[in-house]
Amino acid sequence: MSKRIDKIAELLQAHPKAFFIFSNGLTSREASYFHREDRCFYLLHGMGEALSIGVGFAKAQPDTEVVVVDGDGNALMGLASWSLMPVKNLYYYILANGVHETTGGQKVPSFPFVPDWCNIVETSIGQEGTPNPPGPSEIMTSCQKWLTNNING
Amino acid sequence: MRLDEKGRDLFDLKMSSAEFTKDIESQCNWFGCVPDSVFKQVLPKLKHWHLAPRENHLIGMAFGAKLAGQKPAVLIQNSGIGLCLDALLGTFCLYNQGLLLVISNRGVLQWEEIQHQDWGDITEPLLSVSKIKIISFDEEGIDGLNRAAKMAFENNEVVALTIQRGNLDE
Repeated sequence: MSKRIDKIAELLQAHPKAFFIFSNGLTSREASYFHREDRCFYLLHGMGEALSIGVGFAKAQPDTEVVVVDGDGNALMGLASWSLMPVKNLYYYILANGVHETTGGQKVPSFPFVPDWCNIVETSIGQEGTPNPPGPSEIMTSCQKWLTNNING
Repeated sequence: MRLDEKGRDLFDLKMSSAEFTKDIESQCNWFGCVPDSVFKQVLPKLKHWHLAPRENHLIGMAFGAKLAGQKPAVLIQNSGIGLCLDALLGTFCLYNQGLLLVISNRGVLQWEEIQHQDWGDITEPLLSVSKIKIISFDEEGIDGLNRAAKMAFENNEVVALTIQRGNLDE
């Protein structure tokens, strides 16, 4: 089974022009440490909100491809936001290793259902020992540079 | 204060839902709501608004819209603060982004149902301790609405506009 960081790299390659939103915890940490890009928004908090942020963005910019990368624990916290899907320009991936790894490996309950727009990507347990992502102002400045050049300019 | 058709206290009517809608649409261009009866007459008059299942997801959607270049306003009942405070702190507040948070301040009047009373007591103290600026629509009316929106988007901060029962036609 692949590591989280390898799957993140694959997703970035698979959607080369998309705007990415990574959920908080190890997903954002490893993505920002190993594959930092201006087109990526790294959540530092806001547990369970990655998908709703993606929905808000995608609906406001229907011509922009948007990708949300969630963890399985985070996804379950945000389950009510699944009612906002599908959105045609939004791709949703859940990196699923079956545990809340950021907080010590507590088991994650299974998903009660998996809609066809929801892409479960199984990953192995294990982390790269990365630091917290960059601070919020740095994340926002980088993102705004990309957004200005590609969307909001 | 004034009385409703049942003789119960109501706060003064500050403006009609039509005027409120027209003004808020001149200040913001993205709207979201978890429905509340105080906004019953406002929602159908908005050109477009987004429905969310819970207030925390509404904040998430509004934050996504803000990243996408919109000026968002969300309309929620005060009890929704209990569901969305973490989302607010983890998105708009943490990343210094502007949001107009329109809150119906239920549970302030004595006749209101008991399930609203605690929220009537704690809404403003909770917002204050959360470092969210509050502007009272009851005290300032349309000037307060305009001031709240201006502060939110010029200073990149969350500003709460509290609306009392009776301030808008229901």
